[in-house]
Amino acid sequence: MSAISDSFALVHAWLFETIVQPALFAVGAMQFVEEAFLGTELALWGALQVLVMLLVLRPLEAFIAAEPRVDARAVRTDVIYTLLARLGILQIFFFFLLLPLESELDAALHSVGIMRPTLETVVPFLGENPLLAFLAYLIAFDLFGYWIHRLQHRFDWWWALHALHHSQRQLTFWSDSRNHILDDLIVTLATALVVRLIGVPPGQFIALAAFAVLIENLSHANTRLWFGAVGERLMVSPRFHRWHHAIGEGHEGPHRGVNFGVLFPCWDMLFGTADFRAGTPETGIRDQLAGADYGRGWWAQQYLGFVRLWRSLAS
Amino acid sequence: MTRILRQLAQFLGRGVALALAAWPLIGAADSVIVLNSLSNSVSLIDPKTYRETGRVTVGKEPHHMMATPDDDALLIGNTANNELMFLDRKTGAITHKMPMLDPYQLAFSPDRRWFVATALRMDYVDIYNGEDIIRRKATVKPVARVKTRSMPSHLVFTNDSKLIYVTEQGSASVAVIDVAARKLVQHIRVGEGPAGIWASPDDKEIWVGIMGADHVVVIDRASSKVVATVSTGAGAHNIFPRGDGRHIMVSNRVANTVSVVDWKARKVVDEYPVPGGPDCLEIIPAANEMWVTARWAKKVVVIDLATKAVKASIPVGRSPHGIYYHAHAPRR
Repeated sequence: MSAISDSFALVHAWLFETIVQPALFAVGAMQFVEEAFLGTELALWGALQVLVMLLVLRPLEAFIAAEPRVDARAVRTDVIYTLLARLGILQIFFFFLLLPLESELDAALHSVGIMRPTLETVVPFLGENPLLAFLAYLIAFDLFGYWIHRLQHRFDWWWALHALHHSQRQLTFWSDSRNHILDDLIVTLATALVVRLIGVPPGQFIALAAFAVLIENLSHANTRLWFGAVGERLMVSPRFHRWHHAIGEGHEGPHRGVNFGVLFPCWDMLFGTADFRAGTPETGIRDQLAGADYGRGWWAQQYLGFVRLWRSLAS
Repeated sequence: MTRILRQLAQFLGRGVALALAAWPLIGAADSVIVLNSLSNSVSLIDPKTYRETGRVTVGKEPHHMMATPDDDALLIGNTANNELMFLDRKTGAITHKMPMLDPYQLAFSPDRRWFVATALRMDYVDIYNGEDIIRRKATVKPVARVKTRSMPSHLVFTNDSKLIYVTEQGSASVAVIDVAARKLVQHIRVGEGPAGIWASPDDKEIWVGIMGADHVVVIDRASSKVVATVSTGAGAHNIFPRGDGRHIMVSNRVANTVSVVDWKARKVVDEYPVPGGPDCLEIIPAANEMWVTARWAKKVVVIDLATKAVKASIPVGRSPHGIYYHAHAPRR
């Protein structure tokens, strides 16, 4: 483990010192050197994730497939989404964009004698134990993810955008990043805001996001894999998440869907939205069966997302 | 049920925390202390074996530290969770914490009357009563908060304790703060990305590392103008006195070197290659060594001052920044 972490640090330092820092120096932006160091790490994590996806998830899909891969073009579009998302530009942009706002808030509170509480000030022993603190961040982060996801299905205007994610009939591990750009913007902004407010440090945010994304990639994979009766209730599996994408199941019913959990199914169990059935249901949105078009390529999908949003707001 | 779970979690958490806190107590008295700014920890390194002997978890993003005037404790600024922490340098134990807004770089005035912290992400400089810090009050309030331009980073007092010079990293300038008037009285333009700052012992000059360039500049205090430029290396960052009253060491982050400058002659007289983005440094005269934090390499690099050889490259936490050793070279 330490050898992997050391190699990662070595590549990170090499990339930064030979490419990123000289570029910053050349354009006169050395005051942002620390942010750029973190940004380089985020991009490197992204590259590593894609590598893990190819080495682990692709064979998994090949050997324990849930359904045959028949629509190669649909998958290629999702690859584009993934590569764009893994660069992490959005995340890092918002994370640092929020810093001045957070500073203003801190300063305003401080001037009236209040120090903004963070997770560690509310639960002091977390401050002395990085592993427990990381777990606490992860749980808070995931609970927030669950409710954001519920709202994406709850509000018609938001569903108009989020439907793009659900319109994939050929679900694969690449499908996690298939989102409308506006949907991504809103979720990333809200997440960055909450992450800053609970006080997650930048370095841990990167690790947190990397871990979450890897699990999300797995949960979208085209595989019959499940974690057993107990495991299914501890971590979101491909089988569990497939029901969230199932036609007529994942976006209908009293809660407008089931299995909203991102990492842990406990939130679905707690809030009555869990569906632990077995099976490999067909994925997509019901109106696609009647010919609704969500677009084939990236541009068409984005454009049609805006059209749906406009119609939803207009009605 | 919830109560039992909560109590269990607290019990386990405290147990682990106590175990972690006890770990570094062994052999901390003679340690070189390093702040790992992105690991939220402090590394304790044995200067004889060059091995990390312990690691203490502190607050978020600790960047700089300094000894208290009585040399009893180290003050560590945990910037991201707004806290000033007291670390017993002999035992490695955290002895006190006080809330403080974004304490990035710290300094006592030479007369010890004032304690100052720059808030880099807030664009403030806070001035506190020195006594409040020395007496380890539970909470402290700044006697003055001075708004600066973008990213106030490093600071230096004049020897008479009357003025503070602060580099404004995001604004290419140095701010001059009048302590008695408690206000910012002047901005001096110095160049892109000013970082480390040092006052000459005769109180006539202020030296500033220009990170966006390859030099340090000299400000003449009488005229408040830049009167000289000394080329050191790309990404000239921090400045530390050599301890002989004559030379200063300048870390050049992009060039991966540390330059030795004769400040009276305004001339570079020597250079040490230091890989990994050199930042803060400490000179240990007894061993004739220079210990440098390599920000990008997760390492502390030990240089033999006589041969220029890298004697050790010690793995520490992420983005190591501040470094301290009790038997350091004189700060002059």
